[in-house]
Amino acid sequence: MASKGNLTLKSCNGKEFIVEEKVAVMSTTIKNMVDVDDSFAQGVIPIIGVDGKILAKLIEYCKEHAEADEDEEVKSEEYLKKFDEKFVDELNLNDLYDLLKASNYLEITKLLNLLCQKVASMIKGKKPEEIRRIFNIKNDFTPEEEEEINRQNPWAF
Amino acid sequence: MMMMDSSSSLSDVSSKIPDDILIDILSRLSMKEAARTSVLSHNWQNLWKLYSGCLDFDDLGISKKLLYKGERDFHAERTRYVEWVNQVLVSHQAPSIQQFRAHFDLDKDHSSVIESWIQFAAAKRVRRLELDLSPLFFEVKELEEIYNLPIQLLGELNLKLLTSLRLNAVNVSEEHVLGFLSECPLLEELSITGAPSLRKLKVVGGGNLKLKHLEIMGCLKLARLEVSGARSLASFKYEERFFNMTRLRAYMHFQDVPQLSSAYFGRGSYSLHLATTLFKELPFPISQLRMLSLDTFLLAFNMSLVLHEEFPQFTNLRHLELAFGLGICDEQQGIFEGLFLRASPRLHKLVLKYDRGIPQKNYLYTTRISVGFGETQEQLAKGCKYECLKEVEFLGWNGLTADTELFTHLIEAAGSLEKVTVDPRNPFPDKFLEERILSLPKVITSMQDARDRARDRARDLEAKLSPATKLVVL
Repeated sequence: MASKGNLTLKSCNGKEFIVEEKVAVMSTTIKNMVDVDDSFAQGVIPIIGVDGKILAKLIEYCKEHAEADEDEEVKSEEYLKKFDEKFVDELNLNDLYDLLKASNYLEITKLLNLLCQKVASMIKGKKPEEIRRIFNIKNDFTPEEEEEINRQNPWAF
Repeated sequence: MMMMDSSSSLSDVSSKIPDDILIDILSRLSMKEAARTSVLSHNWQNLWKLYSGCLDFDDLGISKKLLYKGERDFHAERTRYVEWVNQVLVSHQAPSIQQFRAHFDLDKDHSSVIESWIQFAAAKRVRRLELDLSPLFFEVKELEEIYNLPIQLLGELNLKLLTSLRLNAVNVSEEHVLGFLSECPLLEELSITGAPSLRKLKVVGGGNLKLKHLEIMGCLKLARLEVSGARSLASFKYEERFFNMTRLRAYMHFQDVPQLSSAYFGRGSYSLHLATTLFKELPFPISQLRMLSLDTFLLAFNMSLVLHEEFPQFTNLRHLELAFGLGICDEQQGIFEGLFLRASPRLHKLVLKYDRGIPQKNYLYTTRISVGFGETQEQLAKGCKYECLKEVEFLGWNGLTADTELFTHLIEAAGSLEKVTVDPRNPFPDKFLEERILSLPKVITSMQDARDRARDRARDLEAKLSPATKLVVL
């Protein structure tokens, strides 16, 4: 049972995390749940489809940012920028995907933006072959089909 | 085999992530990069059609080269351009876009197609709209050929979300501008370039006017500009061909613009009693200015008056950029710099841009004689300390006497200088010359020689710098 001001979040594989309310409500989805139904604030909030590992990551991110929002003096913009960079750089591809989905579902806009930007930067300036390699994309076009697509938008290539 | 396929597709971003996130990701790329992902796999093929980023139709870099060399026909390029835009717009399916930008020399012959683009952008709830139809070979478009934006179109469009509007070689009048300001309540940036029908403009803001950046460039017929009650206006840019700064106040008037702190005046002619009239004539209080950029075309003033007349104080100026056109003599330029330096006690950053033409021995433009500090300049600089100055950039540095003497003076008088950047490349490259003359091997070699010499001169001066100051030679 979480003490006052704290919420308990439960991952889909049963891991429970006690977090401060200000950290949890960085997620608009959770904020809406707590605002609408008081019982969530008392009991356990199930986070559907997000496992313990990813939930821990989300909480790590939200904690840093919630504290920064509260007191700009403690954590400078520069500090947060560095934190964000490190945070996304340390993710493997599958964690990156899982976090994208989870932050989308939980509506953690800042994090979703950060992750989308990260993926965009991984595509930027790369040849199709490199992009396929980075993201394990299987080229399922025949050479003729590929030629045809190139021909449709010659300006892009 | 089956196993391998499923394990590799497990990590494929397009199968793991919902399409709306993928589209969000694509929309952060340039349109070209987004379109290129269509070739990745079937899953990706049509995703980019929902691209909601910046539909930026600018291929001029490539076209221009070929056009200047005469390898492409201008009219054929025009047709190709229009077809390109139309083809993309037809396949585009996203409900909204961040930006629509068209950049090609088009005129009134293309009215209907341009209108269809504007309508498309409005239907997609565009945030930033830019039409740059400026001529490729001449400076301005004449009234007979320029595209006229029909005023009734404004009433038909929904531009409620527009935050930025930039029009170049699109003819508009005061009625259009006021129409945009009232139809687009979120408009923060407005830029009008080369509109021959803009004869006067009176913007009277209310509490709701969001306008932050106003640019009026090359509107040669503009005879009166009044801005009042624009309480969010932070920057103003004005450029006209060879306008006379001393006449400025006669036709420009700003009132109740408390945020206005950044100003640019382009290609001005600064003549006559500079010190007595010029900057007292700025159309708003100069004590508000934190950033000032002046692009001078002509400097001609009576040097004997400079020291005796009162030059206004730029008490809050932090960032100053002075650009000097081709053919301004070093002495006048030096006095101009000296006057500003002396009048700007809080200056943090100074950027000097010199157009010295092509740095080549036998070339017409480089026959200018470089002189050092003259008597007036010496007097101006005497005893000056620039305590706040941290950063200086010399762009178009040629390393001759005028440059090195100013350099030496600055490092002596600016005790907290942190960084000096020296770049011998011309900050105003002439596009036409660049394609035609500057591609000749002989010119390239002698240009490189001159630049290398200029760089060497800068490095020679490094010994004079204090250890706290960093020299960057580009």
